[in-house]
Amino acid sequence: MGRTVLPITQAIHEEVASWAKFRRALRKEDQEALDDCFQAALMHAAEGAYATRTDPYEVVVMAILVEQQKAIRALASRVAQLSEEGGCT
Amino acid sequence: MRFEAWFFDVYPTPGGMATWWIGRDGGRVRLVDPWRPALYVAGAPPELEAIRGRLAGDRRIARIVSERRREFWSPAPAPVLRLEVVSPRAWDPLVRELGRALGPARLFNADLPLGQRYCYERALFPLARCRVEADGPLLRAVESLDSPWALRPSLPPLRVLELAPTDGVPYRLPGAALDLLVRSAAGEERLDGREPLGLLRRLARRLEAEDPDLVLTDWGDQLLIPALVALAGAHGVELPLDREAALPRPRGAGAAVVAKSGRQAVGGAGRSYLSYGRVLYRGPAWPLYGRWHVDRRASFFYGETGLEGLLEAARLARVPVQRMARTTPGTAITSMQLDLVVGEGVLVPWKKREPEAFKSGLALLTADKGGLVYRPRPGLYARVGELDFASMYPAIMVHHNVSPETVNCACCGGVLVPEDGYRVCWQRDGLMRRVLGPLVELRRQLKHAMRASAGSEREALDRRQTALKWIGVVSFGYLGYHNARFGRIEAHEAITAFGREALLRAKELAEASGFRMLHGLTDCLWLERRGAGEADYRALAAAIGKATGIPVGVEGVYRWIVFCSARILPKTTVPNRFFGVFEDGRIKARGIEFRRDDTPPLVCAMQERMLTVLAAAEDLAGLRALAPRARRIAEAEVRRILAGQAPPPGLVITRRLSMAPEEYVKDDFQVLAARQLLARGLRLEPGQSVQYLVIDARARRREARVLAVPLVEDRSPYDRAFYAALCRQAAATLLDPLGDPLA
Repeated sequence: MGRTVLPITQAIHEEVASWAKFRRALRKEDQEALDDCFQAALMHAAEGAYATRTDPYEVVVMAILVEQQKAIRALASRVAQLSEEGGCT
Repeated sequence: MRFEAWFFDVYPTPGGMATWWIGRDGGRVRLVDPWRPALYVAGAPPELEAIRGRLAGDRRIARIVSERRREFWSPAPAPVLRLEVVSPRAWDPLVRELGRALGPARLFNADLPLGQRYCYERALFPLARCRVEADGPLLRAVESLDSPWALRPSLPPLRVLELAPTDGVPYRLPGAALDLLVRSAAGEERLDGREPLGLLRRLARRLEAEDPDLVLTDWGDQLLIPALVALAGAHGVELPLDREAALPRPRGAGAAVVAKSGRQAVGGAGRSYLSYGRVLYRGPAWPLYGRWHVDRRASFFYGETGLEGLLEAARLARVPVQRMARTTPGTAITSMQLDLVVGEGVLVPWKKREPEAFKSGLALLTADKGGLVYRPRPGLYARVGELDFASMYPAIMVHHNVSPETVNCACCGGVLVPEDGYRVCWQRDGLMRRVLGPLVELRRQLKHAMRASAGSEREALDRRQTALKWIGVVSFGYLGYHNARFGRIEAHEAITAFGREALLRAKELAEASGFRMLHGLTDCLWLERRGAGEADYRALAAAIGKATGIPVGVEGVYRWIVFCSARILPKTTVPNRFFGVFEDGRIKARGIEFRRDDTPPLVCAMQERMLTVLAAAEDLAGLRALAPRARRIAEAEVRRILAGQAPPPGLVITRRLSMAPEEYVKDDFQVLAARQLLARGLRLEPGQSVQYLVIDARARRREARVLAVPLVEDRSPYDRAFYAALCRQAAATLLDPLGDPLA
């Protein structure tokens, strides 16, 4: 089947590749954080495909925000739990 | 003379179609049916009169009749000429001439394979039980007493003779002897290829004495039959491979006639072709006359579904068995559609001329995206339920009436398709619904019957339902395939849109009931909820089935499942790489080493042994506790390999060539192996597989890196570090997620 449209995963990979120079200039610890972000974006390829955005950049950024928000919520609930147990002030 | 018999085979012969019958009394009978195939020419009435005048003197045409008929893609009947051809053997040249003179667009029912066409018109199918009326060698009348939809058909006992190369290798170096393994109910023997005359005489005697209906081979099409025919020609031995005494004269240009026997491969030499992004190879076809030859290594249906599945597909599709064995489920679904269309007197155009309707860029983006393929979070999970939509795409075609001619129909407003903005006709039942409705129903009955059976009976039912599954799967793919006769991309897109909608509805219903979706894959969902058991998943499946109109089953509840992380980006996963164990102890694994075709048998066996050990674990704690035992299996195998004690045949790697050996730029192992064979006079085509042993992966001399089969011997040296690394990798796939890595 001849595909007219890039499969979403490939589009995301190309978006990630377009940030290669930015990534190169980052310090090592920042590079690791950026890599985490891009891996998070790949994990939401299906949702990106379904949403039909014309620009894969939008999908990448929204996926990163979702994963960050999840991490924040998990940390916040952990902090709340620890505070209740009196282990954290 | 009248008698009851099973319809066995059909092919063109002078004066009509040769038909073969297996009588209730066990007799094998050949009758010629003086059948006249017809084709149709369309055009304006004055044009048709001119054509009629021009063809009036053609002796190949028995009769010309003016009729009004509808063609498949148009709603109204139009004037046509019906040309009745005197005999099937006059068909091909006449159709070719008319195609050139009038253009293929004017011809209808002109390119349907004659064997199938005969079955449609006589309402026959392979192994149909029939009442036959014969007059000497001629078939006078036939009436089918059977239905291809029978849940438990009565089939004749078939006599089978198996032939295989003793070493199981699909190719042979020039001049090498061909040792033959012959097996049947009468016994098994090995025939020595170094004594060709003895081999030929012995085989000829067995063919005569046993008179098999089915010659079942390993690599018969590309290796055995042509080699045997050539050998028989060279030694002047009559080898009665065919039951037909007087062979039809070979036709067609290009293919080499082998030896003196007058036989040749049908359809010329083999060919390489592209399918779903892979290069595949189809060998030359060597059908027999009056017997069936099935090459089980080159037959999709036999390979996937055994003889039972092959026969089920041939019967439903009304395709002669030898053709069905050599084609794909696409041929089966197309033939089922043709049968329906031809049976209703609707005309089938020669070449499809339905272009894709214009779409804007955004519409293209929405439409062309297939199923929803999520990525699970890597790691271990316990008590996970897997829910599958049963035959999702066929069920959508049946439930929503999606079909090439119903999408964006001209007759009614239609029902809206999600996302795409297409509409589906609600006034007329589509072709797909009519073909697939009974198919989905028969599959349901077969699966139901499976539950009440055991042993070989259960296996036979399973093979038949699997054949139906494949036809269903491909029926969807063919809608998006530009060469398919009834393909139409908009119908393909409408189905995937309904599919995405169904999966999302399922996710929403599951989440509303407190389940968490771990993974979703087109028509499957992996769900978890603390404390949920089989009954909870069943209740959810029923609710989803009711809401979407597509039945949902519980594949099972996993005691535990591991979604593997991706190799390169360990915080991600690939959609289809996991392994787990259901509550009843069944292992399910996808995408890991032992499921891959290019993993050597020894590595597969090791990984499967490890998985069997892990399968005993009831929960995650048990799984972690068993990890060291699985690890020791891998460690022992690695030690054996490093000590040089592994048997080389277990290390042989099989890979498919995607190009001709000399076209490769990179020196991959499979290329080096193919070049070794080429240097010895054996050329493998793109799509064919090559087998090799890695001798020294890093050898400076490229030729020394691998050794191609059949040059590999039991004592051949192998690259110990290379194979130890393969074992370690396969072990790591299982052990790393359990936190018990190899040292």
